[in-house]
Amino acid sequence: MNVIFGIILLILCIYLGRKLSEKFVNKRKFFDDFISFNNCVKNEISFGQASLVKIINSQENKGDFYDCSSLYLRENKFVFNKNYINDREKEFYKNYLESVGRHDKKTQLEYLTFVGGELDKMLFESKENEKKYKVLYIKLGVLFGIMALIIML
Amino acid sequence: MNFEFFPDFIKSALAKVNMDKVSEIRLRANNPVILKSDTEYLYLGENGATKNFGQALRTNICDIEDILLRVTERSVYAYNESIKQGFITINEGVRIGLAGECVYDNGQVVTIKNITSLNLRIPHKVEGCANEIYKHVYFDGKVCDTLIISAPSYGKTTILKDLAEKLSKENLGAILVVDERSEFCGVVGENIDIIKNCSKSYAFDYGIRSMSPKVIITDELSTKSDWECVKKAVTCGVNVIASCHADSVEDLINKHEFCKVFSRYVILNSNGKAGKVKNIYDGDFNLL
Repeated sequence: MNVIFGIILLILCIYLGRKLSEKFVNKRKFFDDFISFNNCVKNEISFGQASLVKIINSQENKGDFYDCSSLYLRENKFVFNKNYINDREKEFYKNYLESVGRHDKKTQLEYLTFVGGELDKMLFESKENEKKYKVLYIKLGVLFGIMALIIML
Repeated sequence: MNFEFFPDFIKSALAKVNMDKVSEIRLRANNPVILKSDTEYLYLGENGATKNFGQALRTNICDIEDILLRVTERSVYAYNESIKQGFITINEGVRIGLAGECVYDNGQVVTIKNITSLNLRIPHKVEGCANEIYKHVYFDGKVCDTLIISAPSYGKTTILKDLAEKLSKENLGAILVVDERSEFCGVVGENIDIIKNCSKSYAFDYGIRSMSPKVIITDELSTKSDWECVKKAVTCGVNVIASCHADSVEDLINKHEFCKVFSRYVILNSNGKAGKVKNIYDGDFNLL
């Protein structure tokens, strides 16, 4: 019986460790999607000139970035309740949605290029954190799980 | 007519207006919304069109910006070329004129910013509006090169659309419509080809080479280059039917870009209905 509880605790701890590390994965994915969208808009401005609504609808990736951006473009509502990005980053994202599409071609391209630079830094930071903390949290989960199993035994 | 791009208070007011008679909706920041109905200008009130200034709905600069964003699907950059020329054309051929601050780069206008006024011109198909002109434009199996002349908003484009459809039914060959501002929405005919959203010089040039039209129909000859295109087309044996802003024949002849290539000049009347003709002249300006 104790062994079973111990194994359950081990699995629980590993699961908890994974769950805690998810926010770093989600943050990295968020900035990946953000950069991808930004580059897509830059290309469209230079070539196809499709509208933002068409660009967003054509994206096959679905995720928090696309869901929130799509809602904003359709209904002018900014709703982003995820806690894996901080307030400064949220404000940056909101300002981006408010600015994108509002300006003429030249001004828009300049703005998107500037934003691209900032996004690259944010993505780099989130990738570094993902590398560092994802494995750490999973290892901690395994460690605590094994300790719990040993205690149970 | 879909007015989804308007704020709710304007949409609900317009729902109470007979839009069949409205040819223009004018919105100016911090000013009343104005409708042009036949030849009359009215205010837009909560309960529809009104002459009462006190009941007029007003738009502010945020409303104008919101309308622009919705009309462009939040993608002003996608309409860069037409904004530079002072207008945006949306679905159903509605042309939205813009007034604001011009931005220059190397001596050329690159965009218009801080837009404070919008003028929505709403096209209405008026079947048969070209009936009176038609017998002078097409007879004995031949098309006459024709210029339709009037001040703005007299129905020149409406007449050109009707002429295109009538000529298409004669099966005399391809009718090429050069639609620089996407205003020829709704023109249909089995012999009609439409080139949209490009300059007349480009459209005339590639249109004649690739579509081999018998007749070219185009709107608003204004620059010297526009007139050169027409002259070139006529010398190539393509008939041209076009329109031009002018008050009278004298006003037309005095334009420095004018060249005498047409065999019919049609001056329109100003009674608010498309197709009302004042005078028709032959190629030597003799009254017909």
